[in-house]
Amino acid sequence: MSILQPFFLGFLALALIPLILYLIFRLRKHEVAWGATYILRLTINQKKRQNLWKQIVVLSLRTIMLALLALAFARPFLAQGRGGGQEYPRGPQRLHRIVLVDNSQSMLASAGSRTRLDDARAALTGLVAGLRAGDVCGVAPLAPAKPGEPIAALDVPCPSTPDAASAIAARIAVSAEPIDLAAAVRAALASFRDVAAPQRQLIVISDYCRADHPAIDGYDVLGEQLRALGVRTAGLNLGLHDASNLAIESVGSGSELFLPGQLTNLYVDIVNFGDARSPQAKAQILVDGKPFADQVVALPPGGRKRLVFPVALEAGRRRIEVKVDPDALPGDNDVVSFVEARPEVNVLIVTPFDPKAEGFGREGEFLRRALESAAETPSRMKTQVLGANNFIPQDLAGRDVVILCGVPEVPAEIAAGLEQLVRRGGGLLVACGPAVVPAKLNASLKGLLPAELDEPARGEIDPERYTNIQASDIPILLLREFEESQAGDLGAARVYNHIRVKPAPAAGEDDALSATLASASASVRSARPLLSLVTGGPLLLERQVGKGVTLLWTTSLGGSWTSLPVHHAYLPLLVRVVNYAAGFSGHPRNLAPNDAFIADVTDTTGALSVTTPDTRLVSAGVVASAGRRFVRFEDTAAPGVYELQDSAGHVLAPFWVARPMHESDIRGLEPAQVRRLEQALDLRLASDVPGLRAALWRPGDGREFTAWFVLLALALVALDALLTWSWFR
Amino acid sequence: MPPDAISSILTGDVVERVRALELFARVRVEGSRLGDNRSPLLGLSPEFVQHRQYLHGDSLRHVDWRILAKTDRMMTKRFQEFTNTRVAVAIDVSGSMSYRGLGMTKHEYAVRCAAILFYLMSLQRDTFSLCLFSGEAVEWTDSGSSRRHLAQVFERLVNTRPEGTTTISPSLERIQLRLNARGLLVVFSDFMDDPAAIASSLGRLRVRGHDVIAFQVLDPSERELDFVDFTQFRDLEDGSLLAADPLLIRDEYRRRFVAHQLELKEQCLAHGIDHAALEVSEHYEVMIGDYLRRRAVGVR
Repeated sequence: MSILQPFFLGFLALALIPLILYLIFRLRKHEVAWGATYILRLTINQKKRQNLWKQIVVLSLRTIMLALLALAFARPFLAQGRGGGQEYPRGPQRLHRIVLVDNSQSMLASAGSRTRLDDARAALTGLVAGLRAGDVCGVAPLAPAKPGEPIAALDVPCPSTPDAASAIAARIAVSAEPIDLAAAVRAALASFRDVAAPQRQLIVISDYCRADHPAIDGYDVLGEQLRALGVRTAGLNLGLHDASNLAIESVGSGSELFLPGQLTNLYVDIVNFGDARSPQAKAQILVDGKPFADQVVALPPGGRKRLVFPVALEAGRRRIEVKVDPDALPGDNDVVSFVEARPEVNVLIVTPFDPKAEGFGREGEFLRRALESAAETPSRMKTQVLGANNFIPQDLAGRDVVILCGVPEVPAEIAAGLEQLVRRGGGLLVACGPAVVPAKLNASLKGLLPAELDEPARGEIDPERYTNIQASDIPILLLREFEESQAGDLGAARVYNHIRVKPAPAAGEDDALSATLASASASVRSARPLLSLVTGGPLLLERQVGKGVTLLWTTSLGGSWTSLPVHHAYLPLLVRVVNYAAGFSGHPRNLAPNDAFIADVTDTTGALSVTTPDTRLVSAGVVASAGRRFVRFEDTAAPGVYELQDSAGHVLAPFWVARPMHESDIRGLEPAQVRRLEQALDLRLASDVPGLRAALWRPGDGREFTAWFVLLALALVALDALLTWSWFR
Repeated sequence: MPPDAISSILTGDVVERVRALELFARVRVEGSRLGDNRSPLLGLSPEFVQHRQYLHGDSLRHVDWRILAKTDRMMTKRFQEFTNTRVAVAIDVSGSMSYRGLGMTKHEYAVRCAAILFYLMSLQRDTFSLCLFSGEAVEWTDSGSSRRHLAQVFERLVNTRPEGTTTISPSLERIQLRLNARGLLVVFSDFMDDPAAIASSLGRLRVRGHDVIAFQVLDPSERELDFVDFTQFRDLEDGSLLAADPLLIRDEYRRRFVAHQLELKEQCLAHGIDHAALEVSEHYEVMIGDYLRRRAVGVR
């Protein structure tokens, strides 16, 4: 015997109503002064036992009657064929059952000790166990193991046993990929068409997160095909619709390069992807495993907050870890970021004239002093100023950043050297100024400049005519702190003149080494403005070239065309920009899933391997190029910390692969979406296994006892009325 | 004109109607002066009873000269002696008599009935006394027949409050001890006790030559037990509580109530005791008047 609507079992408590009413009436008995107690006492003593039995009988009748009604609403049934309360409804004919199981990251959410995936596996075991000989059953995960891979279905041998069912359920592994319900249903439809079976059932076990179903209307076609094939469709919704889920969306400062001892803002974006307001949680930063700072955060459903942690790091490679208190989905409560605090940044400043002859009045020397003063011990900006006339390609050796400070033109051999420098990961900052000759620079730095230089905005400087810097909506994290007016009041700086720009020509082909070194994410970055003028024109543009970056500053870095040097924002902005430009010389340690990890292992011999977040040890191949040896590791689908290690087990380079955020969104479908989904796929959604049984139930699947229970209850009503009339009138 | 105590119980109309009633003992009673009741003694009256052999010293006035002339035997004629009667009215003043249904309490009803009888006794110049019994206590007033005595009795009646418990049979035993001369004993009570024991005690009084009238005062609502909800009945005598569902016991209770009345009536008849049920829903004057008229027919 099983129950189709277990919810109504709760109404069994109503069966206590007669007893409660009886007790209430007994407690509320009114007192009467009575004279004939002699006769009353005799009567009571004689009838005491008999009356007790009458009351027990009537109360029992009424209790049983209500209990029977509650049971009738719960729809008890006895499945046909094999008995057992755990069996799912089915007819006597051959059954073709396909179970689709959500195996995305969101299924790791839990409301206690059990995750959604545990519940899914348990439900799957029940669905698969007990299938008869001749039945056909297939189990398929909803998310592929890797991007683009087809969904691999698991065949279930029939008849199946509970052990075999458990083994199949255990093979459902979590994937980092999003689910594709439409593809899975299409595959199920194909399977249904291939097998002739009188009964067809499709069961979808999922948490039905709204992020997984952006276009429910697209399921209409699938629903029509399911109806045409006579497929009975049901779903088990394992979503926790009253849970909060704080997820760390991103952690960063805009660059993986830090200047030691320099306070830099670390931005932590936290989002509540749950259906309920989050409790107060502690967001904590750990540097190399040691607690550094923390803040308390509490967010409404869908709420988002950016936490700012000013950090100053010591020199060296550092592991920054951000954690929030565990919640429903613990997997997105910590993020790791590997950064480098480089003790020295080597900067070459090229000016149009001989720097020794210029003195303080010239921008090159001004810039050198500014940079060195802004980033002194313990960090150091090692700067050198060269006149454009004395600049030779050999001067580029060992430079992290080269600043062309208003240089009118660049000789071809220098331009080639600069391009080589940038493609290897160096930074080039091209600043404009009165001496710049746009046509010449365009010609010599073609392929490097983020934009083609046009004519200056004004022929002559007029102190009364100027524009300002747009100090809001700055796209790059590294400069975002300047959005606040107290951080130097960048917006107050006046720009009297600047070079207009046009879209840059297409980038040239990368050479072989650059292709090896470019990570997947880096290759998709193109020219973009980092700072703009309030008039809309760009002030600072970025272009990724090879591994490095070229920055174009469309006004002067000194005081020729702008008042920025006299503002507080000048020095920190300059240091940030140079820091950003220098941040590409190393290989990225913080990757997106499926990005390639690259490490220079020229100094290492022997076999190398990578430990993955799921504790696998994967051999890492070595690529030789231009006399150097590199590891390029592309098996980065799983999020988490990877470690490149040598044959002795020494960790050479750890790196982090970020989690895809769409799986953190565990918010369930809205009621309207649920109705639409049920309508589109002809699906009946249940929140638990008994409900799933009820959803799969069709007349003919077994014997339902609702009518019998109702009849029995009515008979008891009649008997109760008869006894009441007889005994209590 | 009756004093205040009397007028508080009997209204002028009732008093006028009571004048038409009479109450005599059915047995021969020993009165202290001439009255309307037969005496066990023979005396002077027009009512011939028997002849007796003339004894020396008998008055020649009563010699039946005709018999002497015919039979030469000297016989004396004997005549019935009529006397007044001693009436004791005993009222149960236990707590159960304070039960009030829709109208007056059983006690109030019994008091009014007794008042009528006392007034009637006073008119007939019978000697009457009041006995109030409750629990161990039996309280008597003096015997008398004067208007002043009547007023005292009425005052006592008015100031009586029913309370306490009563087991009727022992109380009747105590009353019996006080009754020396044969007379009329009227008992007002609800007789909520064992009918056999009550009739037995009353029967002993009857054996001693007393004429006994047992008035059972009842409230109709007591007989019906007309409640619906679960009820807690508080005993008016000892305050004890009895919880019961009236719906479950009503039939049996009514049956027992009727059976109790029948048994009491039969037992009283068996002992030669007059039993009359007085229901408080009926007017007391009507009830008492009807009874006295029925009794008068039976007596003469």
